[in-house]
Amino acid sequence: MTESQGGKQLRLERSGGFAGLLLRASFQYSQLSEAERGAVEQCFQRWPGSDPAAGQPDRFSYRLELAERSALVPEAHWPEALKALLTALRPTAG
Amino acid sequence: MRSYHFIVPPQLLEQRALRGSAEEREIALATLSIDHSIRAGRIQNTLLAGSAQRLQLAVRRGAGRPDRTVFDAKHRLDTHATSVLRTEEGQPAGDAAANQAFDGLGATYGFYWDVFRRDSIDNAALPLLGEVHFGERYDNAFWDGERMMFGDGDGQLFTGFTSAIDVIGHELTHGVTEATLGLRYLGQPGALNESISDVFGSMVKQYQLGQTADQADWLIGAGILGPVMQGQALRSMKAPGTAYEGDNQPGSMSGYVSTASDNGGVHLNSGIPNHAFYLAAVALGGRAWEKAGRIWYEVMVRRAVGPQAGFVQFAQATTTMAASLFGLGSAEANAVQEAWRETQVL
Ligand SMILES: [Zn+2]
Repeated sequence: MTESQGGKQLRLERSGGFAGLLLRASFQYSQLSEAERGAVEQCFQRWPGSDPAAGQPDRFSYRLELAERSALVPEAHWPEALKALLTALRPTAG
Repeated sequence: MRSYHFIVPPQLLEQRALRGSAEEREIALATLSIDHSIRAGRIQNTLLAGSAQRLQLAVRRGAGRPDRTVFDAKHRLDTHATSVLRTEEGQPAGDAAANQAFDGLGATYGFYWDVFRRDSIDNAALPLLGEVHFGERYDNAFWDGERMMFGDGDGQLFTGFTSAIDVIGHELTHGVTEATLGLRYLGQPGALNESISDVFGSMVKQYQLGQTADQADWLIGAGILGPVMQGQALRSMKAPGTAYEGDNQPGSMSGYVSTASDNGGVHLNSGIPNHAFYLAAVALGGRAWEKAGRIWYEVMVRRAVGPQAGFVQFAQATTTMAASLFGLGSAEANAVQEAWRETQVL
């Protein structure tokens, strides 16, 4: 973890699904476990950027944002190590 | 010179293809290939592969009868579950979700067959496979190209997805779209893909209820909302943006949403073509599938637009199709054009 990342908020957004609802959660990056931070880093490397991409109908997609970095992760590739973060997601308008 | 037309039921031809002599098999396959080319191809492939058991199953069904199997995902995110809860041969399962899924798959098959003579998703008797109890408290349902997955819902946002027949119609229609227009799931083609699923999902429900366009509620996902969701459904084709508290679907281009989320807002901007279909169907009166639905369906099966089509191309294609089916300047062509104008697409 770099010093600049330590005090940052990790923002998570779930979009898509049949309902198309938008759910969000945010976390203090420094409070994530080492395994979780490692999985987040892997997401940034494997699924970088936040431009909308073509996907599979009605599957969820997960956007991660940390400072200037972002990742857009298809549901099928969401890491097991980050499964617990999904329980914090709550509906949000728009 | 007199010509004769022999009308032999496809089932009989398939029996001959399976069990007849070499000559009978050749004649049967040739006949099948005229108007059942895909099915005949399957039979040929199956014969070549030597899997007679699978062929016998396909033959026994016959067109017009679904081939459904519902599996139990046992709360795992397993898209290849093998535990069977219900088949065509078996009795109703001791599992309400399995029975609802089975019935919904059948109702959707029945709608497409009765109205459009479409034999399953691929029009070639594709078996309809569903999985219930997908994931833990999973708040979604989707078609993955081979099976439809049903989550049980978390009890807060959603109470489950098997009870809403329009949801099942919606998901299976994603398969029909994939087999016909192949619309890319991004931006406007993605929103059209979504809208087509809502259009046909709603018609599956209306067909089951025997409703005319003006009797229908035009809601998508009514009855599956949990206590956290304040509203009556997830989407309203009649009045986009009013289905639940926080619904911000637009009903016209003035409200078009540019966003990176949800594959470019496919579930938001689908409200625009959804509303256009509603306007056309209500203006034409009667049952939605008889005119507006037929126009939309013909655009799909004739591949009148490409995979990257936007709203304008789709609007033009449906207007042209209406004129082709019902006549230039017909009430149908005018109603479709007016619906797209009212939604500010044309
Ligand atoms: Zn959909």
